[in-house]
Amino acid sequence: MIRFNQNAVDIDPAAETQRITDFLRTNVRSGMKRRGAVVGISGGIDSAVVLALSVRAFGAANVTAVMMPDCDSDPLSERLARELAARYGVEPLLEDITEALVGFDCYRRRDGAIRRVFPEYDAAKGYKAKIVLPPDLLEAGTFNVYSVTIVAPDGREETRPLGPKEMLEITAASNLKQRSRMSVLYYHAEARQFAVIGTSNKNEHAQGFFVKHGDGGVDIQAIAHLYKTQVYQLSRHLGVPVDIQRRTPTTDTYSAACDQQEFFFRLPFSTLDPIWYARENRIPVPEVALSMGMPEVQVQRVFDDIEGKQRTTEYLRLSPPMLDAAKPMYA
Amino acid sequence: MDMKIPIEAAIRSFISSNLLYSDEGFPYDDDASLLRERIIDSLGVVELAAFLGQRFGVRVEQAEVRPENFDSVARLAAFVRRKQDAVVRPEAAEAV
Repeated sequence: MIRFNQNAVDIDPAAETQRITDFLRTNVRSGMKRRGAVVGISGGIDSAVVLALSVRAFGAANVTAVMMPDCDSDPLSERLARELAARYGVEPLLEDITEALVGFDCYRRRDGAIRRVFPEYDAAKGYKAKIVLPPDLLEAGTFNVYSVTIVAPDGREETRPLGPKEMLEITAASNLKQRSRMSVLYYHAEARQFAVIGTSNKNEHAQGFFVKHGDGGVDIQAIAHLYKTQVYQLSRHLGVPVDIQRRTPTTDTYSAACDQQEFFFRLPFSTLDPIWYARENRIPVPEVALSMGMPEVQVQRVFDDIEGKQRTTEYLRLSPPMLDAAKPMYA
Repeated sequence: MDMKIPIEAAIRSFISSNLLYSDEGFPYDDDASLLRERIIDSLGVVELAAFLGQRFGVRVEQAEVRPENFDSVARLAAFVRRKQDAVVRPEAAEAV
């Protein structure tokens, strides 16, 4: 019988590292007939762990690490990505995707939608923007409805709800970033006969916090089975630079600073992951609440939020449906 | 005039045409959970909020976009009636 406690998601990092590197080698070399790995590195914990695992699996000479900032990216991301690549003996490539995104009209389309909510918003004058969900999932059973927050040049912040048209346009324009990065990664993979290694963790993959054919467009998923807190456990074992381990997980997609909690997950991973584990293993709500020191109603809210996100993002994980062969007319 | 049927019918019609993309109308009870039945996602909630404003002239505050008000046709209709009552009788706003 499974007994639940807050350490339920703890893993043996050495054994899991071995399992993942075997999985990568077998599938990439024997299955895909590819020689090595291309990894997009962002200066965040997930791509750091995947780079470390890829170097263990294929050797540094067979791993290409690509940094792909745009004009909205935090300069800290590139600094940390360079530190990471140096740690594992990989020479990082810098591919600034800003001009590609200008060509796609990404910024004009996105900012036009933001201006319909905040007419004063002007990136050229120093305004910044981000998209957020209602804070604190535990305290309120609200829907996952996005708002836009702008930060004026003097630092004042204001948040307003997004209408459906604006929400769709901002999302579609922003997703051009991840899809541009996917194209760049596949350029480098095809030019070297390498495979693109995915960097999404379980929280992102299963709850739909990724862009279809963007960061979800990869040849193999290295850590999509790991809760975020398990990724941190691996990062310590693999010796990921401490500055990356300590960095707050960020979307690094919008011009205003925006962490993953306010953008999508709505509560800390240290709370989310054990509760998610409990739900997957059918641990009764009262037992989870007792162990986590939380009211049952809050545990149930987290259960419901996980279920809702998994359900409403199934489309993202769906392969294109296709029919069986057509019936020959004269058969 | 009893507005009960028109409000529910209008909501069902909107969901059917704009969220279910269905040729079969709205094949659920008015009490069916729109989330649990996979009828709406977060975008659908936003679209519903916009629809309530346009169709019934009610202003939906972000704090009101909650399952208690939005998770079934019956709850949506009740929410609209409370909002409309609050316009006619401001003291009823306390109940919204």
